[in-house]
Amino acid sequence: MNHPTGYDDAELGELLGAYALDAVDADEAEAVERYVARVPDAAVEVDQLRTAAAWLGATEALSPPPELRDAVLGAVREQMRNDEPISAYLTETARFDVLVDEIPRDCLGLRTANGLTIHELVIHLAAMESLLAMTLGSPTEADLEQPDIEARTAELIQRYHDRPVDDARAVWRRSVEAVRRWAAAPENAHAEVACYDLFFTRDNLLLARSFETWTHSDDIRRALHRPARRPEPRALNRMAGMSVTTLPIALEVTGRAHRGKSARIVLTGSGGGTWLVPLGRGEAAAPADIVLTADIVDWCLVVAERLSPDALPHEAQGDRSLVPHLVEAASVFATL
Amino acid sequence: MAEDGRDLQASNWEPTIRARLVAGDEDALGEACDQFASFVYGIAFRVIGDARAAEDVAQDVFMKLWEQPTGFEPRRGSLRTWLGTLAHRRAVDCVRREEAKRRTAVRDATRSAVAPDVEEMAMALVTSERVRSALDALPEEQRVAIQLAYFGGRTYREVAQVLGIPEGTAKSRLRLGLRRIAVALERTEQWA
Repeated sequence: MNHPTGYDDAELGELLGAYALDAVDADEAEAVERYVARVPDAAVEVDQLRTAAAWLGATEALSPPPELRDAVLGAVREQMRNDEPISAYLTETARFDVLVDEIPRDCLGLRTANGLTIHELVIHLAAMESLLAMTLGSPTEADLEQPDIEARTAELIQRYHDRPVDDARAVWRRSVEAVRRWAAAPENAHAEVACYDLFFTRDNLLLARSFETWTHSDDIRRALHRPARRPEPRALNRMAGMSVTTLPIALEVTGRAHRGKSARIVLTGSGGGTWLVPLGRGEAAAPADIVLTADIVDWCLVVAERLSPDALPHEAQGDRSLVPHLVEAASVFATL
Repeated sequence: MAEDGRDLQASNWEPTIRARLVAGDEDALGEACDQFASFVYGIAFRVIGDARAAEDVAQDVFMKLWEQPTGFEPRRGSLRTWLGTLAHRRAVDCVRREEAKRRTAVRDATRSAVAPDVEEMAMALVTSERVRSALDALPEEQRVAIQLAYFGGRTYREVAQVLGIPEGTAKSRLRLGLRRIAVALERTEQWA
């Protein structure tokens, strides 16, 4: 069988040893990876050869400088402290990845909250993440440029519905890696990105993706009758904070703005916090006209349209007539 | 079970470490460092021949494990293989970027065989010994080709050039030689 890469299967087979030893160039490595992805026997051989190669390395074990461990853990702490958005993104995507492994294969057809089956929901996340990767300049799925997320999801469902869920996850994984690489580049620290018909700062983009990944992970857990899982408190705080600080714009675009008025939103529970926001364009002025107190996870469920605004358990002090406007505007940017 | 609750068998320990890393547990990364830092650093140092660059590669490898613990898939191989593959690839990239740098000078200078996890490393030492014997037992032409590629960071084309053999011959020497080591290793695992 001949391929556009210019290598036939026999040649690719001959390259497996060199590939496992990283002794091929980038084009050859890519050709071998495609070959291995479609020929299970070759995949088994590569895994064996890679194991052997790694053991060759083990013959060279050498004590590293004692500061290596501290340097690694220091870098991790630095990242967690200084870059919560990327930490949240990495944690939520890793949890989703593990969750896909845990889905019993005969449950993939179960319906989730937004009407898609579990399998289709994994594909939907592949559509979301691959659209972002493409927007960031690293397309991860061939011949797919559709920017409309519903149409993109439908097209990917066509492609992946009859294939193992791992294939859709592979698209999603490649995309997550592309997003991670982009986010890690210092020059993108203050980048603004237009995607999903919205404008995002780099941090809000990562938080929005973390939020959706968490929401859909819980959709899958609910469909499987498993308990929901909260994000880490700091991540939850940042995600909820993003939804609260975009309230003024949400109120404006939905015609519910009350310019000159402000609200104090108090979200309780682990990761909770307090935010003072204007109820439309302009600056927030204390004292607030309304103080709304609710559980942080309940608030996030409303933002994600998993809880109806009028079902949000809350306490309000001040001008209570503002409450429905506030809560209904909270989910305007849900793209779920 | 070991005293710290960790299973001695890598096959049980590894998925646990992976799950803890996914949950964002820093201590799990510390344990992975304790377990594999010598291995990862050793590969990087052997290929690059520069302590500073080897340290950077090792740090990079463990950061990757932290950032993407799900990149390691237990059903496709051990954590050792995953880390070793990554370390080697990064080291080779480094060498190829800085083409023609001195690769020999510093080697062997600071070598010592210290290992933090007794059981794992005892097993590792036995296996390394077998791999070393398997490497020694290879026909010389295969052994030299593998050493040039793996430790020298050369492509098979460069291996062919250095040895004055056709590229096809270099490819098959690498594949056949590595296969023999893989077979020797499988036997070791069966015995273990």
